[in-house]
Amino acid sequence: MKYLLLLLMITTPSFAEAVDHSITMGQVTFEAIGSPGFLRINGESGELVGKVKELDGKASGTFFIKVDTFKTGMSLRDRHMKEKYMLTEKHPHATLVLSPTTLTSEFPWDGTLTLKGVTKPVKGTGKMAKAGKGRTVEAHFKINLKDFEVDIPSYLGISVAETVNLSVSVKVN
Amino acid sequence: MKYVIIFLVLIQSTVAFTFPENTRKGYSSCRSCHVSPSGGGVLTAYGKMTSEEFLSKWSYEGMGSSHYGLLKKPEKWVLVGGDIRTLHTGSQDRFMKMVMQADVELAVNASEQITFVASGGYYNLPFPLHVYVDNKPESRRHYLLLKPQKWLTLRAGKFMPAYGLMIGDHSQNIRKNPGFGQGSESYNGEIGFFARSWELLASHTPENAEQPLTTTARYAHYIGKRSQVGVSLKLTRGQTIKGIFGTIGFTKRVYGMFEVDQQSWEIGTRDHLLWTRLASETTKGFHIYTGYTNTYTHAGQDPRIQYGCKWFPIPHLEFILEEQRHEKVVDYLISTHYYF
Repeated sequence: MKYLLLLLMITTPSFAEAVDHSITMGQVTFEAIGSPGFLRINGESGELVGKVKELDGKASGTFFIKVDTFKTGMSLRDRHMKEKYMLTEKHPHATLVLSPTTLTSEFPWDGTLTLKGVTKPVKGTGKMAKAGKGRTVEAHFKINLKDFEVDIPSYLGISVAETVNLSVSVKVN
Repeated sequence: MKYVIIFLVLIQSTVAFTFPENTRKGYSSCRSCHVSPSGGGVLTAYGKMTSEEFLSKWSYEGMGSSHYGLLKKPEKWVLVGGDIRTLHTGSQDRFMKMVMQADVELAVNASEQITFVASGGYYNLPFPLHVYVDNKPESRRHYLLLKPQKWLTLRAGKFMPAYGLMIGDHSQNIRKNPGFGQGSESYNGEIGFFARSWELLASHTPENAEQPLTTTARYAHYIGKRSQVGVSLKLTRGQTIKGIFGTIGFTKRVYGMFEVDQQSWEIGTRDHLLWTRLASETTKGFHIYTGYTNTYTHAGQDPRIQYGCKWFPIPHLEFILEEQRHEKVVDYLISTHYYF
């Protein structure tokens, strides 16, 4: 129900615009590195909803990532991430805004990310491929946790590196 | 004679105390969970926590620590660990029970960069324990570990050099044949380099009464999110051993491991060792596996098929049940392991 309302909020204003628009749903994953041992912490199942507009061959969009849906394979780590570092009760969503970008099989992109209430510019690379009647678009980028005022996670001698790799995968109808 | 050989092989068993299969969960290096850069031995505070978080079926918060969560603060400067293992083995009508290991290991962190590790205990005690035997306590590991950088470790003392898969079951051909069986720890100097996608551990064993001059190196490369492959080399007087190994995470639950080694002697003889295992964590803390191993020597082959299961019901406890078929003989093994 929450998602339905969110989708309606996102899509309703765009009906007035004479541009191509598509509803998207997708997933976000991240990879953080813990030391010592270069432990790979893979966050999966991050839920995402949003909208892509296409105008003059360029796509732009806004995506909402539900932060507390990430799972890293360890429940205690998930709890710490949500309650201690990402404060998901106060900041339940991260927002990724894609600046107008020409979507090709491989493309660079830029935009902004709002995480924990802090908005910063981000840029990365992307890939697009046909999938049935629609297309799948993947975007990869890096963020520095300190830029978003996220404390560096540390627990029982394992500290997470400041830089985290994120991947967004969406299906565009 | 056959049973004597089986007994001698099994008496050297130490069943899994390192977990290369955790590669599929992102643990590319042993260092996240073990104080030792090459794994085994006392666990870090984080390693103890993982036993309750994903290794075991049931747990409560803090149960994985040495003090079962009764103390609020986790161990930091002094880490305590230890193992008690019992083994029941049998082949047709012959059975044997023993306590393979009862030891304690301490790791004292003088600072973030300097750690001293020492273990002491008894090994290969007959069961029940009231039977008198002239076993003396021994220290199989004691070393100084320096960690000047996140990517660099230096170690000197008595420990097992890194080679191959580093599985804990020393009765397997890939451990005992190249000289990494239980109790074969030696005095070495070691340097370790660690990067995001790879690690290299190289050790040097000076010549002494028990061991010839030996150089050992192990390089492992992380592939994708769940797999690792590597090469190993051991050079000693008159003998060269080289091999490849890998841990492949097919899914989060299904994984495989392999190692192939070639032992060459100066006189021209060559042996080959093959070890494979396919396993699945069918439910949290319960693994079933099957494997095929073979030892190819000039005298012939020794093919073996293994079936088994491992169960980690709660932190500090591990049970293993395994059947091994070779020629027309069926051996079984039941192991209980208490670790803290």
